[in-house]
Amino acid sequence: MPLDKQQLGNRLRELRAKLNLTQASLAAQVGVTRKTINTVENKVFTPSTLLALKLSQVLEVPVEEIFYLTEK
Amino acid sequence: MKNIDQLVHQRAMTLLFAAFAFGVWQFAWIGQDFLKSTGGTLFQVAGWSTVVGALLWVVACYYFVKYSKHVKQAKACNVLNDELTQRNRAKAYMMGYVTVFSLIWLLIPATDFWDFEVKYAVRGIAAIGIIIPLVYFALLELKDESE
Repeated sequence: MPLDKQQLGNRLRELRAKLNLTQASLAAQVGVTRKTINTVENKVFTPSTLLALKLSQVLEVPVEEIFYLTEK
Repeated sequence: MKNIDQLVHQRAMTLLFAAFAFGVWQFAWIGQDFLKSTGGTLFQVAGWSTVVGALLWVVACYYFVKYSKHVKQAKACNVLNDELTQRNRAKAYMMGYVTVFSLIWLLIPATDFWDFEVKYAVRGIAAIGIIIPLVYFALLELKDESE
């Protein structure tokens, strides 16, 4: 599938809920603002590889379990 | 100590206030210089507005210092410069660049149609070039992205 027809989906909200983390506490743990987490969750902002890896570390799951490719 | 959300909001509001103060100061100053030869009430109004704008700018500078103290207290320098902030800042710079570039290119044919002092227009464009990125960045930071 062409790249322009794909976007980055994520299970951030679901994984965060599993660990009882609020957006603010997750943001504090990875060193970003709450709004950054919010925009990632809502697919408004695509995070860098660095942030994706930090999220995977805090959420204790592989990156590909948090992020996946989906159709636009 | 303020939390990160409060600091993000405070930054946006400080920038909006600074942009307003700078706009009042600079545009009133341009108006004052433009009306210098005519004098009258409008010239007086422009003169007093320049003074008020300059004072507002001093207040804005005080807010910047106050804000930086809050950021240092919260040890939030890195968090407040995260990748979303960097993206918003890049967007704001680009918006300022496109606006100034467009206005300069509009100014060139405008001088063929109207007779005016280009120096005032250039000063106005220079002020807009500072105000637009400040306002756009603040609006992006205040925008509710939730769905």
